[in-house]
Amino acid sequence: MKQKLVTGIVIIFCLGVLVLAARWTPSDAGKGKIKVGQPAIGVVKVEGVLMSSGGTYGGTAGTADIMQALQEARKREDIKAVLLRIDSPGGSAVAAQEVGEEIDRVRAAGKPVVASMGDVAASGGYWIAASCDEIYANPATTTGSIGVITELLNVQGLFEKLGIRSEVIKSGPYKDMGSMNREITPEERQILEDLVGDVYQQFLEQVETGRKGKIKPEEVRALADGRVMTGKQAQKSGLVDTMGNYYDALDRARELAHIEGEPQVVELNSADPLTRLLSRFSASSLVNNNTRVPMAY
Amino acid sequence: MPITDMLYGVLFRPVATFGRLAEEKPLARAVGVWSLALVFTALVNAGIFRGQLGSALPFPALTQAASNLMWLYGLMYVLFSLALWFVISAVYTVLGELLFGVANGRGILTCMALAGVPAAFGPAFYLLGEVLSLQSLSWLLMLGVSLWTLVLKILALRETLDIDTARAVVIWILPYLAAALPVILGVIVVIASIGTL
Repeated sequence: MKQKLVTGIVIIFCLGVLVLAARWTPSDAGKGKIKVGQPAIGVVKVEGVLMSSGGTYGGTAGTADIMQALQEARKREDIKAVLLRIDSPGGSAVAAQEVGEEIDRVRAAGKPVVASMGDVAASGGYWIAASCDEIYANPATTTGSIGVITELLNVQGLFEKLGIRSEVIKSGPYKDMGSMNREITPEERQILEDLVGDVYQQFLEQVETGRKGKIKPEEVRALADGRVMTGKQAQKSGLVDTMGNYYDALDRARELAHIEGEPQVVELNSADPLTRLLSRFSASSLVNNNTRVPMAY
Repeated sequence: MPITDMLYGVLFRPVATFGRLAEEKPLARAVGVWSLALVFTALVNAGIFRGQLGSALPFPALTQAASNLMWLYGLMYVLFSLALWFVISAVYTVLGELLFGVANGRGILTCMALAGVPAAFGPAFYLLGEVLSLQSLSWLLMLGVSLWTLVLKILALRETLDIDTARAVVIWILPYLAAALPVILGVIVVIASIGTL
């Protein structure tokens, strides 16, 4: 009797899964109580160190998920505006560029994008924010840090003490540029400085384009020395538009999209509870990690 | 043994059930149950694949064309799984005979087929994780299902050939090691050749 009951439950479960498989589409995920067809605001979260690769685990914000969410926001007819919730100390320049380009596409599709800064939206986090139509920050938010950094580690002395010696056979003089086994040469330093300078120019251009009419290019350049500032200071200097929290930014997105009444909110890249828990365990160890990643800023 | 008892036994009392199945060897019923599990897996995978195609492909016509080929994918999956089951069971029989002097070909075919049944829960958990936005939990469940299936296969070998667990593990792992050997050698050759680039 018990066997038949358990087997019956297993068979019913399987039939249920089959019905679900026949009807499922990915956009069903996380829809919850959303009323299909009614206008909505898509929320995209950028939380953690920005990386072109990697996922949501361990306090990193992988751009694949973020870009996919922005693409979905652009394609879905019910989503009329996007709120970008940023809580990131920065990360890879390429990652910020990729997300910035996707934000441009959402805006080109006629959908306003509003940035809401959480604890930190510095460096790459600000690069992304600068791509949005408007920026909301809390007075104590840490932002700014417009600049580029690359850091090289030299363990030559340590290796010598340990009796470890590296033999390098290379096809060109700069092939082992940045090697941790020797001092950097003046020529190599110049090449890396040019590289950092080029990415810095791209960062400045993005901020100047995104904040056009709100802050003068020469003012951006004066502030773009890597300094961090509070949300309040950033508003005074024109890097942020308005002081307000997540809900103020949500309300502004609703206004810009001309949505009447209370908007529906769709979280487009919400991590499941277990992912959030796992991320929390390792997130604290990644604070300020951006300074260690080569070509991060 | 009735099919309900067979299914319940494999899922919840595998040691005793495999021991009985190794003697009774109800091959046709075991293959029937496992084939149903394979068809179920193929259908769920097709549903997941079809659902994901919609957002992955740029044109609806392309999505439609790919959807039309789902039945072929499902058929290939079932046929390939059956062929692999037959081959691997034959290899296990030969290894049992060669290494430990025990053989039970029909018993191995029966038990290996039924040991693969719980694997059908993997795609089901994946789908539920996607629908409920609990992807991490579904990945953990899928990992659990994979380990469960692995343990069931080793138990099936142990009970069918009446050997101890260590010997069953040796028989189970040898074909995989043999398959991995060319890959390992390939990696070594590639690493060695990188130095000359």
